[in-house]
Amino acid sequence: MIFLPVVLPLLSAAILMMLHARPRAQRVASLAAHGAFLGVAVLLFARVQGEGPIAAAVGGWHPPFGVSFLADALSATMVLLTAVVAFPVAVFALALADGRWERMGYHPLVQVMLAGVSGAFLTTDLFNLFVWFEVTLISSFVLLTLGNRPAQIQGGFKYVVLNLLSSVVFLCAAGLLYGVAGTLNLADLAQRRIPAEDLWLIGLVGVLFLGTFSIKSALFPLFFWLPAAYPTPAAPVAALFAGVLTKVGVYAILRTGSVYFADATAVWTPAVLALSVPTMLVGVFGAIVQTDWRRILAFHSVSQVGYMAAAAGIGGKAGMMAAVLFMVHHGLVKSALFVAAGAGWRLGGSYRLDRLGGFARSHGWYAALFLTLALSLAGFPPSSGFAAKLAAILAALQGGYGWVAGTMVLTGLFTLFSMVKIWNEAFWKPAPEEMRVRTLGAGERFLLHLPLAWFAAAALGVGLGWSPALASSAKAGMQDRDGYVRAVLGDEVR
Amino acid sequence: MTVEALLSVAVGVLFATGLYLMLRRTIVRLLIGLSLIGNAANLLIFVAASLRRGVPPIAPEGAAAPPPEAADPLAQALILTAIVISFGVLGFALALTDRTVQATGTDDLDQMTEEEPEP
Repeated sequence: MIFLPVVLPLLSAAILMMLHARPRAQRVASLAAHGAFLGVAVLLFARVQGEGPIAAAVGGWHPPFGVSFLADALSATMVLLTAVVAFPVAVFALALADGRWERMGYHPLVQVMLAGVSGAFLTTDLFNLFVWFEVTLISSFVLLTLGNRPAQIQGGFKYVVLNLLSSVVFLCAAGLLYGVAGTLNLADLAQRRIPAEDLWLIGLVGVLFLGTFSIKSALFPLFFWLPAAYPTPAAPVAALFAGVLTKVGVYAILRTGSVYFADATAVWTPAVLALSVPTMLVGVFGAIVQTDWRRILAFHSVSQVGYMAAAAGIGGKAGMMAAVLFMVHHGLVKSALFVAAGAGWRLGGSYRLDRLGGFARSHGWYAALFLTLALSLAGFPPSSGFAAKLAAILAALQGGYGWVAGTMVLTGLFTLFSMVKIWNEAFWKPAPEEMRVRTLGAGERFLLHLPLAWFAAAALGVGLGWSPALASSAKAGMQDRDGYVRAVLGDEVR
Repeated sequence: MTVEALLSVAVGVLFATGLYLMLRRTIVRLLIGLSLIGNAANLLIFVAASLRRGVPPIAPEGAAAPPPEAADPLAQALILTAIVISFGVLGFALALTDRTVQATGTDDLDQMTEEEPEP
């Protein structure tokens, strides 16, 4: 059961690869594969909720020797989020039905990426985490450059080089940690005693890991690959990346911090905060001067990752809850906004805000859905953004980090400014002369609106009633470090 | 000089050379630098984790664990995995570099300023 979120997408990727010559069958199979993945994620989440954490070891090699997987409340939530984001994006990809990038292998690659992301969420071993990062990266490299436009290649090149560098840093950190502690299993690490004279090494290793994760999640100062890369790929790819990929980095900060580094070394929390607070500001100020729809969204992704990482860095029960809630919120809403941008491009023929306009009059439903999602990102009640931001600010205040809370409020204000800019330009102002509005068939219109409605409903649902439920469910296996250790190692706890 | 000290120096030299090459403006040097740094990381794992003589790590019959003087095989397993992965990734990076040079018409990183995304 616990291996299904990894095995199933890999199997689907193989099947989709075989259907390469038959685009129509491939599309149907891709949708079915996403549906199956969603089903597995829901089942896993329900089982973890009902029975508590599920652990399994590959090939019967018990931890800490073998590679082990653990689905606790946090992991199951992240896998579920991935599936809930990936499914509507697949529907959106059907609506665009661009044969060019489909021929280049879009469908199988997405499945490989889902497998890599799920693996990263479920593994308990740091080196195994590295392997899943690489699986995710390789597929994302190719997805990012599908289509071969010059801007894509340039953005993709930055992404590839920075991520290769971060992989090397990850390897060094893992090697040093193994040399000091003798294990890379997170649960095993958490219960080892490190001699006092080696503690400075743990601090060093912690900072190296944080460096890697901060590149993956686009934290300040190495965030610039994200605004260069995210506005360039095919519309569904951008939506999927925005929802899922940066979360992997934040999840890694949250997981390694809560299980090990936050307790093991005093530098962890200040280091995370020192990276994440400037991230919030740089991202949101970067967005102000942009005039390209997807560039604005990409800069906002950077700024929002800052919130999540700050909450994860503050830690404790409140910080963890806030980080999880924020990841769920941002995964849903940011993907949705990228889908909305893609829909705008489909309808109006451009991503440039000066070439768009009048959607509020010409496409009322589309405009209403966008407004719901944009206000959610800005943090209006009763949306998920309000719940997430409130939780993050309260966590910062409780932890005694008033200046972090203040930055969060300020960033929220500027987020609203950018969202209003998109609304004013693309939706409210009259359509510019040169804009050619494409008229779409009823089927395609339905397929464009369906994912947006799905996301808007999910965002409102999370904001209205599910935040307490999410919080109570995540608390079971996440905040409690000993629970994690016990769930992974079973009876072998020394 | 022990092997550990020698290898440590080698790691340092590889990192320094790799970083120097990565800071050059030519895109191919950047890639060579990256691959050097990758090798440095592999050597680093080797030095940091286990570099000593030992018996093969095979548990005798009936015992639950190998004898304590056994060499640690895990570091080598890690390095092997890392080598395979970096080989694949580097292959992709090479192809991408080729495409980048074709698309931009230059191999100078300073010339690759961002273009406005196409409408």
